[in-house]
Amino acid sequence: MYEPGLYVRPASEKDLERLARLIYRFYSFNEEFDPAWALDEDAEAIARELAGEYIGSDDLVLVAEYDNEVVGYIRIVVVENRILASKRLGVIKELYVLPPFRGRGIASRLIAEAQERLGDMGVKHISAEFPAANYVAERFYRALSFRPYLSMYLREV
Amino acid sequence: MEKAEEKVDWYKLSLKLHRFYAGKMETMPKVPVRSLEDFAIWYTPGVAEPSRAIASDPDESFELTSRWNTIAVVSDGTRVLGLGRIGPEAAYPVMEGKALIFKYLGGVDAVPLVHRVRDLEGWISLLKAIEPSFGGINLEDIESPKCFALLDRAREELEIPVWHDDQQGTAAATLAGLINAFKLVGKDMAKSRIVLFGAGAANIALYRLLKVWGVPPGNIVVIDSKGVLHPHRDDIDKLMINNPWKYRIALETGGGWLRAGDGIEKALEGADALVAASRPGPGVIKKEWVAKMAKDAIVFAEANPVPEIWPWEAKEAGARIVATGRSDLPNQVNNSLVFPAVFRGVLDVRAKTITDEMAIEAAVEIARYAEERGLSEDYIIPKMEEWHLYPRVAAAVAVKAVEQGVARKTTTYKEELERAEEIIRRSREKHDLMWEKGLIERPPEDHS
Repeated sequence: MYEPGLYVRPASEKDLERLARLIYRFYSFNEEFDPAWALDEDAEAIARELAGEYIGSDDLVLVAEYDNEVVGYIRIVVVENRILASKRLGVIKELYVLPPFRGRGIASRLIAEAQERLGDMGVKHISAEFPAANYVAERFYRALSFRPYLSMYLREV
Repeated sequence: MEKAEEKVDWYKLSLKLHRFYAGKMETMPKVPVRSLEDFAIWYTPGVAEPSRAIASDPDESFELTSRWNTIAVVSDGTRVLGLGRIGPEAAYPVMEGKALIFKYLGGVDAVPLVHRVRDLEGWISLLKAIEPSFGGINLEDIESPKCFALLDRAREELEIPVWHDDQQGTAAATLAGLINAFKLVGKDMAKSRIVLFGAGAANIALYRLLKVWGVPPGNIVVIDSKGVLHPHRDDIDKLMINNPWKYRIALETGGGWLRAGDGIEKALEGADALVAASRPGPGVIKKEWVAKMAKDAIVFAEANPVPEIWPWEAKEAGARIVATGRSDLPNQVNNSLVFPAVFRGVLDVRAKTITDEMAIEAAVEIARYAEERGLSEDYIIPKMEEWHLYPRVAAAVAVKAVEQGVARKTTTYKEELERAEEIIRRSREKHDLMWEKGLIERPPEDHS
């Protein structure tokens, strides 16, 4: 089912440069969907800082390595709400695969690996955030049996 | 350059004759009215019985009414000829012209249907709503990329053939020309480098047909106004959302043999064939670029009214075979070779759709027809006057539809060839007879 030569592992210091690039591309892409996603003019430099912060944080950050090259990543934040029976929820905040490597199940593989780790942590649910107008993401998650769970609305202050 | 300029002022003449005739098509009875009593057969009370028959089996509508031979030529007027978004009313004369060609060359009754619906969902509801009246739908002059989604969805959701001529018609005519051009230069198309310049309706459809034909995507480069469609292009994620057809081409071809950011000039280095369907020339494609193509280069410059590069310029630059969209130059890549015949074929077998394989079959038959008459650098594709071509293409398409299980009726090549020949001949004879009898009025100054 999955591409041979594909390897998913937690992000580490050696991935800094590549991860920064992927983070930047992820946010540049989202810019398309709503003015509220517009990037800071120093976004590229900030993406580097973020990459450094992600690595070694409590977030679950995995990278997909293909032919010894990092071609995609996923970042999941676990949020707690103790009034809910499920207590903890894994939220996919960022997911990106470089275009030349799409259509090979890499994103699904990143999610599958992340889900396994979440399961080990006792997390019962995994959710995904993406811009409301991103119909490609919507189709993708629906195909992986995700269902609509939370709506988020926005307006200018 | 003057040698290709028109001698007749077609615009002026056309307006004058359109005003004189006030429309190009009218409906005519095809049953006898021997006395007014016959209306009891054709209308009430008799007509209740065919209605009952159709109510119990809707497919009977293809046998008991004119539905089997009637199609709609549907447009929203958002991309008419080279004129752009001129609106549905202004698109009407074009649709009516198309209907005339359908009838004269294919014996197909076509109804112009222009409308004000712009959005995709509205379009789909409209087509589904009118489906019971027609045996097929020809979409025409609709802006890109809406036209791609529209064709894909309509093909999925309707049970009658839906064809977008600006995509499939142009692509099939081009493929026919390419097949023979490659034959003439003695190269294998599947192993050649092919550059598609312009990523609108025609070339995106051509890309799909080339793939089905057997050209590996990596041998194809598609170039739009921003350069080669390439997975590393800066706007690639935006394309995924805004034009998934271009996006898929970028991913599938991997940009061919090029790097992101390369343009047409780089793409043509060593290329075996160029199909330009972009914007009117001359000078859009430069001689210096064609000069860098492989030996025996093939150049199709399809923009109208002026091709991206004049044929003599392309030839001076080393191209061996050149085709354009113009009737006054050799090798005209002309949709009119395709659509009347394709619809003749699919209507005769009550097909439910027109697959890419059927479009390719049409192209192959057109190519074969020209080959039988002797290929030369100035004859790789037949001309519209060669009317025996149409029944041949109809038969090839009909047989393919039966083979692929998308036809409601079965047929053989020979049977459909005879039927199509008969229908088309009768359609032409009716016209000619009305003309001779003066039932088609003589124009003020006879240009016949």
